[in-house]
This record gives sequence, C-alpha cells and structure tokens, in this order.
Amino acid sequence: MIVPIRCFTCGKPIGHLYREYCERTAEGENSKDVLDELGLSRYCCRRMFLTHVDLIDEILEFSV
Amino acid sequence: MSEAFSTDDEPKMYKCINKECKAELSLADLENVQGVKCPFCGGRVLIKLRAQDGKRVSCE
Amino acid sequence: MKVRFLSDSETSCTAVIEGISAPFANALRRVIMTEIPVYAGKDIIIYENSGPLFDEVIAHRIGLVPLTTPKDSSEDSKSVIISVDVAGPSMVTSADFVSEDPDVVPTSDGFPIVKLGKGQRLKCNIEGVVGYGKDHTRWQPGLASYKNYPSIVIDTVQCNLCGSCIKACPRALIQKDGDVLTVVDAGSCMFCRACEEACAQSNEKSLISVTPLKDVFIFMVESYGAMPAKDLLSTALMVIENKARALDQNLSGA
Repeated sequence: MIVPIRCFTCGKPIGHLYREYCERTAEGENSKDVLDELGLSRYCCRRMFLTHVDLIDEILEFSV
Repeated sequence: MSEAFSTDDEPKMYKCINKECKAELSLADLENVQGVKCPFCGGRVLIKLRAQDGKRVSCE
Repeated sequence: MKVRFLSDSETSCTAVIEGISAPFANALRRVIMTEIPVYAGKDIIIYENSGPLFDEVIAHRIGLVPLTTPKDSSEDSKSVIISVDVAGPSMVTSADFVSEDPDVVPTSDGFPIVKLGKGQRLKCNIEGVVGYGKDHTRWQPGLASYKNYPSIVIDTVQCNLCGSCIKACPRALIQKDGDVLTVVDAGSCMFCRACEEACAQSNEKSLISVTPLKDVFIFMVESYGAMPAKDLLSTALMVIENKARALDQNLSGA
C-alpha cells in the first residue's frame, strides 16, 4: 500500500528514507549499498524496503 | 442552490448525490418527506456528511 | 566503575561499562525502551479526509511519527496540538505538520502520511501527549542492547603459531604479530568459539579460551530521534533513581 512509518519488528522509523531508497535504486545502485548507507543495519528493517510494494497510486482515484 | 431550499439552521447531516441537486440536508429536512428521500429532487440516495466538529480517532 | 565511549553520535552510542551487574544492565536496557517519557500522537481530530486511506489508518500512521521531546518532559507535560491541512494532488508528509510548540516537532520532514489525488483534502489536528514505550511503540524512544565484554586469553608459551585460529575466526580478530598472537578489537567478538575449536583440533587441547567478563558490558543505545542517544542513558538513570526514591519514601512511611 504505502510505506510503513516504522519497522514492524524493531520500531525504528524508516518511512522518511523510502524516497531516497527508491530514487537511488532506480538509478541502478545496488540495494545493499543503499540500505547500508541509510543506516538500516538489521534485517528486520531491510526487508521493510526490499519487500515493499507501493500501491498507493493504484487506489488514489478511490477516495473515502 | 441547496442553501436557497434549506428550511432551517440545523446542522446538515446528509447530502443528496443527484448531480443536478446536491442538496445538503438536516434531519429536520428529512422529517417532512415520507421514507428516505431528498425533499427537493426526490433522490433516494443520500450520503452522510462528516460532522462539523471533527471526528476523534485514536492513534492506536 | 569505568565508562568508555566507543562511539557517540546523535542517533547511536556505544559504551564499555565496567563494574555493573547483568541485572542492572538489563534494568537500564528495559527502562530505555519502555519508561522514558516522550511525545507522540495520542488522538487525531479529523475535519476532512477525502483521500484514499481510512481515518483510522491515517491516525495510526500519524501516531507512529516520532516527535522531538524537550529534556524536562514528564507525564505532567501539557499536550501539544499539531495541525495539518493539505489539499491534493500531493503527498502529505510530516513537513506539513504545524506544531504550536517549536520544541515538539517531527524528527524528520520526510515521513509520508498519505498521498492525495486531485480535489482530495486532509484536514486534522493531532493531539501530542507524553507517554511511555510500555504502552505503545509510538512512545518508544529507541533501542538498547548489551553484551558481555570478552576475555580472550592465548597461551603464548605453548602456542606453536600453527595459525588455525586465525583462519577460523569469522571476524578476523586474531592476528600474528611477530612470533606471538594478538587480539585486535576484542569487543567485536561474538563468542562463537571457532578459534577454541580450531586450536583444539590442531593441538591436543585448546590453548585459547574465550570467556565473557561477568561485570564488563558493551552497551549499545540507538535513538529514534526524540532525544540524543546519550540523553536516553542519562534520562533512564533518572527514571530508575526516581523509582527507587519513591519506593524508599513508601518504605519509611509503612
């Protein structure tokens, strides 16, 4: 749906890093290097980005 | 347009979804018609408006 | 008691603390994660939300945004109102939060709350309240963890410099220095004891012994932004002190 604000497991705030992660991986940078530089050292936080599917644009036209 | 039809100063709770009507209705407006119906255009589909004083939602 | 900081920044610090017990280190760890008073959203009052996400989802997301907390905050600190009013098309982020108190603001401007399409609007007030991590993650100010400092002793008299331990160590902590083996950066040891095993296989018995020192700890604190990592430590100690004092007062009265 939309990036979670915090890591589900450890509670570290991660939402504000997602944009940079997307921009840099889109430019062809290796996910591992970007995650390391963003300070996501634990595998619980890393999977938040690696496995996230951003669907917010798909539901944008359906307002509540 | 809906303001012109309004019968009182009570808070508006419903809105007629008829594209030509779109009247905002209070509970008192609905009491004068039989069944659930827009008193102005007769439309039977009304949606509820958000309360004026806001809705309190827990962050949990 | 001795304290030596290995690293110290706004977001994390690591210290070697000598002369405390495991129960005390654990008390400190638990207090940092659960009992430090910090600000976070408690309720939000929604006036308009025509965006794609439900009210409850938005409330939950806003609640999880970490807020900076002044150092003297306590349970009795007054609540802070943060207002948000954004019309689409745009991404609502924590940069759109307008706080009445400049000391209680989101720790970063980049937290995405919801994406709004054309003609959609989000208008709400957030009620920020001081709370504790034990009640909900949104009041958790950070993470804390600790491990024993290792004592790695090599019997240099019997050691024949076969080098099997050097190869075995996954973190390459043992190095050959002339004709003796030395340990570099012992703090990174993870007690896997691969060196002991390798040594025992090449020789008759292991000439290396890796043991945790019972009263020396490597204490790691990671702050989520409410306050600097070092402040988490000092605030946690203050919380423990106040608890002990309160108990003492009740003891003398009983």
